[in-house]
Amino acid sequence: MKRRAFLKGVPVLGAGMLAGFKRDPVIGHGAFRYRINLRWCHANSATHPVKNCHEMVMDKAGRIFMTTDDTRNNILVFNKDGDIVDAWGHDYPGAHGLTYHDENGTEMLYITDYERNQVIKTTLSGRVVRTFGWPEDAREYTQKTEFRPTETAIGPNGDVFVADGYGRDFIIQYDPEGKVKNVFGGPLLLKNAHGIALDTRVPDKPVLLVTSRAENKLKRFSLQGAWLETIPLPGAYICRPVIKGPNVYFAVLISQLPWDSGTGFICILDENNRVVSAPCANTPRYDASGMLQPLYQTIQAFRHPHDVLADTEDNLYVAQWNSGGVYPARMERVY
Amino acid sequence: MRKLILFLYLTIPLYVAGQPFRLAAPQISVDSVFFLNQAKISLGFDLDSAFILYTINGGYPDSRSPMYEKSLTIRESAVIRAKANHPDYLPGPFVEQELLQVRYRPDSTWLRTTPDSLYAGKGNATLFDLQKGGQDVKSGAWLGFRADTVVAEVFFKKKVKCKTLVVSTLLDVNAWIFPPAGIEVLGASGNDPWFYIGVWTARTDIDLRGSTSDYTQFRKMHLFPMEVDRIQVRVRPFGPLPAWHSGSGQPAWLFIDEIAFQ
Repeated sequence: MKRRAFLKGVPVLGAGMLAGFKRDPVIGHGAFRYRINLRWCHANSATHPVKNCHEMVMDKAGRIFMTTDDTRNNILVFNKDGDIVDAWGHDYPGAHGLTYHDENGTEMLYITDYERNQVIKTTLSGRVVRTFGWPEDAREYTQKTEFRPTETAIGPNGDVFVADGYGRDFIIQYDPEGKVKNVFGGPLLLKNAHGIALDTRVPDKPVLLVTSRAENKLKRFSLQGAWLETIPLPGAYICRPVIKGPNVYFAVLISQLPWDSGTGFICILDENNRVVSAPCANTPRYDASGMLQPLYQTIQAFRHPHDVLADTEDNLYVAQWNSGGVYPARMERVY
Repeated sequence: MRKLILFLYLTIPLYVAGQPFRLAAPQISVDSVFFLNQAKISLGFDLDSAFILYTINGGYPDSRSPMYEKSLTIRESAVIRAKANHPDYLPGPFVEQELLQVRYRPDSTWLRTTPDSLYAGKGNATLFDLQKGGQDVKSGAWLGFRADTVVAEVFFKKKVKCKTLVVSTLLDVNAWIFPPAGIEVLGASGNDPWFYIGVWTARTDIDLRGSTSDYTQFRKMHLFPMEVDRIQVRVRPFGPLPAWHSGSGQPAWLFIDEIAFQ
C-alpha cells in the first residue's frame, strides 16, 4: 500500500518540482499584473542612507527622484536600473511630497517639508528657486506649526495647490510667486488630506483629486475649490493619487489600523475611477449597487507603500514609509 | 506519504523562487462575538489558488487542519484560528477570534457608576446587550470611565449558578485606556447579605509599554458555584498612569463593552 501511495504521488511531486523552477509569481488583477523585484535598487546604505522613503517622480531623461527624510541625502536620484546617479539635499528634515513640473521647458521639483512647514521649489540639481510658507493671512491658520504640508499639485496656470495633510487638512492655493489665493477643503471635508494631484484625464476640464486618507476616500474638487464627487475605496488608506494615461495609481499605506500594521498594497483605477487591479490585495469586486467591497492585504510583499511611480513602459516603482529603511522596489508589468 | 508530498509541493517552489513572499492573514467576520444559542463565522481570503486552514478546538492551524469551504456555525464558546496558504507563497500568520456563549441574561440591571458623558453609550444596557465594540470608542458600544470603580448590579427572576464571568475591556495605551486593576464579584440570594463569589487581580509585572491596541481583552474569572438571584460586579480601574507614560500620574481610562455570565 505504501509503495502504491508513493507511486500515486510521484506525478504530484514532479509537478511540484517543475513548479519550483518557475519565476516569481505574477501579482495583480485583470490587465494590470506585475512581477515584484524588491532588489531592484543597488544603493549602498553606508553611502546613501534612507529612513522613510516618501515619494518618487521621473524627469524627461527617465531619471527617478525620491524624497527621504534622512538629511544626509534628502533626494536620491536613480536610473531605471536601480543605480544611484545623484544625491543631494541636507536641509529637509520632513522631506515628504515630491512633485515634478515642466515649466515651459524648465524642469522643476516641489518638495513638501512638514517639519519646516514649507514647500520648496528647486531645480533638478537642488538649487532653491522659491519657498512657499505657511498661509499667514488666511483666517484658517493662526500659527506656523498648524501648517504641516504633505503634497503639492501644480495647476494649468502654474498655481500651486498644497495639501496640508499633517496639519489642518485644508488645500491652499498659491499663485506662482507664493501669494495665497484660496483656502478650501478643511477638516469637515477631508480627514488626513495626504495627497493631491491635477487630474487632466478629461480634456479641457482639469480637476483636483485629493486624498481623504483616514476616510479611505478620494475626493474630486474643482480648481476653484468646490467639492464635486467622493470616490469611496474601503480598506484603502490612500497616500497620493498619481495620474498616468486613463488610470489613477496609488500606494495604500495600510488596509487596517493601527498605522504601523504593515498591511499595505498598490491600487489602480480605470478612467471611471473603479478599481481594476489591487496588487498584493484581494480581488477587487463591486456589489450590485456599485459599492466596492473592502480591500485588504493578501500578500505581504510590502509593509507600508507610500508612493508609486509609473514609467513609460508602465512598470511601477514603490517607495515605502516605516519599513525598515528599505529602498524602493520595482514592479515589472507583465502582459 | 501523501502529506509528505503535499508538504514538498508547497515548500519546494518557495526555496527555488527568488523572492518567497509571505501571505497576509485571512479576514474573519462573525455575526456576534457574544451569543446565546449559535454564532456564524465567515472567513475570507480572495486570492486565486489560496486556501484557508482553520481550527475551532483551541489548536493552531497546520496541514492536518480542515480547509475552509463555507461559513461555520458554532453552538458553544470557541476560539477560531485561521491561516492562509498558497502553493506560490509562504503561509501567512494566523488570525484568531474568540466567541463567547452567554448562558444567563439578567432580567434587570443597575449601573451604580456613571460613565463619562462622551462615552455613555446606551447606559447600563450597553454592558448586557451582547454587542461587541470595535476600535471606535465613540460608536456607542463602549462605556468609558475615568478614575471610579465601576459597580454594576444585575438581577435574575430565577436563581442562576454562573460558572464564569467575562468582562470585555479595551486596551489602547496611547489613548490612555488601560486594563482594569482588578474585578470583584459578589452574589446574594433573597435577603441574604452579599457574599464574595469571585476575585481577579491583574498582574503587576506586565510592562504595557509599546503594546498594540486590542479591543478584544476578555477578563475571565471562575465564580464560586452557588445559586444567586443578584450579582454585583466591581471593576477597579488601573489608577494613575505609569511614570513612562506621557500622561504620567493622570488617571487611566477604563472602557467596558460587555459583562457576560456563563
